[in-house]
Amino acid sequence: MNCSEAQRLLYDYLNGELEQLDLSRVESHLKVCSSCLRTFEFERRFQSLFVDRIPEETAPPELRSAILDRIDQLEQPRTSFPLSRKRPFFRPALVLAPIGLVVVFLAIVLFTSDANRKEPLDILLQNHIRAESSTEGLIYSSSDPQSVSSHLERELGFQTSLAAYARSGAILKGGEVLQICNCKVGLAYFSTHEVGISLFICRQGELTCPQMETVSYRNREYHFASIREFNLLVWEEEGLKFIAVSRHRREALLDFADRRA
Amino acid sequence: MIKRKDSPSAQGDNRKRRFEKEALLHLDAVYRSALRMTKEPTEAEDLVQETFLKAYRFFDRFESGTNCKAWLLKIMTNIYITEYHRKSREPSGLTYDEGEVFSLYEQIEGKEGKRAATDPEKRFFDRVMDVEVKKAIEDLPQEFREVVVLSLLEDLSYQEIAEALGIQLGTVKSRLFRGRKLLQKNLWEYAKAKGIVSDSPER
Ligand SMILES: [Zn+2]
Repeated sequence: MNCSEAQRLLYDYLNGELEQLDLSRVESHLKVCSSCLRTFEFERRFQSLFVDRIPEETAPPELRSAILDRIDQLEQPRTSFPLSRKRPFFRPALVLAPIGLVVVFLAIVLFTSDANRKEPLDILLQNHIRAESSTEGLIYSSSDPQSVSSHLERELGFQTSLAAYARSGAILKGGEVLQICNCKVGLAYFSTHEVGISLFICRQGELTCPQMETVSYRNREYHFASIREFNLLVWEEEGLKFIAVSRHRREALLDFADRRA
Repeated sequence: MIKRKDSPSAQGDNRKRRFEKEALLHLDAVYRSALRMTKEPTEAEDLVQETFLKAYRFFDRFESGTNCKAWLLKIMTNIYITEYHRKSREPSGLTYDEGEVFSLYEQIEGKEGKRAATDPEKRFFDRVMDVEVKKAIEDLPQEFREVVVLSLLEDLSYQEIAEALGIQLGTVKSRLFRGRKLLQKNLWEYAKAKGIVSDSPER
């Protein structure tokens, strides 16, 4: 083995990735070549900096307990949630990134009065803008988006497109199912830094609710409802049903919808 | 409170105990890597929680006796790549075959060597501060930081890194090579800024 071959294998050697044959060839070269030996020693020393000199960081103890708590949650029998009880958004142990955590709502609207309407609503996220953060209202929480999503699906009885939403950068943190007039509304909580009004399109399904009032804004017709602290605006565009959900005031939602049109 | 009073099933209890013993054992390692990746303690904690929760859900798929840390780090990098750092996933623009590759060894031996009376390497390494070592990693462009963290800090094999990041083995090697050189360059620059070393005038 010559020097250039040895140098080429230097990092593989230090990473312990050499096959026995190459390993012994490198080692015998190092026995006879002090120049290569020096560079090998140097690189080894350099490498050990990263093991020896980075201060031992240990995970905060509450992180461990938070994980264990959430595992306990996962192990709970999965039943439907009572809708009346108010629960804290995050338990203190889970509040690990409370600052700047913006909560976003995804509404999935389904008419429970129509038992046959079980096929997936085709819900697509279209757009979102900034909203203020929130600290309450979570009923279901999980760090695993899939489990939130499947929970909501179970509760609502149809497939959601939450994964499509998550692709836009938010992490699904939890959700809940509300009963409002004759509709079941699913709300999903996302953590993200830049989302606010969630807008969805339903390709199927009508949206009329006794509690919904009809609003006219700049020559267009909308349906508006307040569901607890959320405002919901529904309108039609070219045969598609749009749903915007937010904590924003009605005017903000109307303005948002109008700007889209 | 979300917690219910029902006690978890015995099966779940068992699984949890096994999970604590085999997976949660690596909490510190996963946390450290998450810190190096996100550079943000709160984000790192979130990422670690996501990682362990996901690991728990898929714990049945983990083969006992194989490298659990590598498995956890794979889950972590996966979540990190797909959910956290989407925006900065664009390549840094650094190419692997830039003409001159920085060599700390040559800098220290060649230039500093003439100045320093004895053991310029020791002189250099002794003066590198712990915080600079950390910074050298955090200053790396994303794609190099990932492989450096998994290799130098967590000692994963090329194969394990390739699987964790979903890249080719050859890519792991070239990024790692380049990553090391960039680390050396970073440390050299910090040392220069502190006046510990200086580029020779003839350079
Ligand atoms: Zn040699």
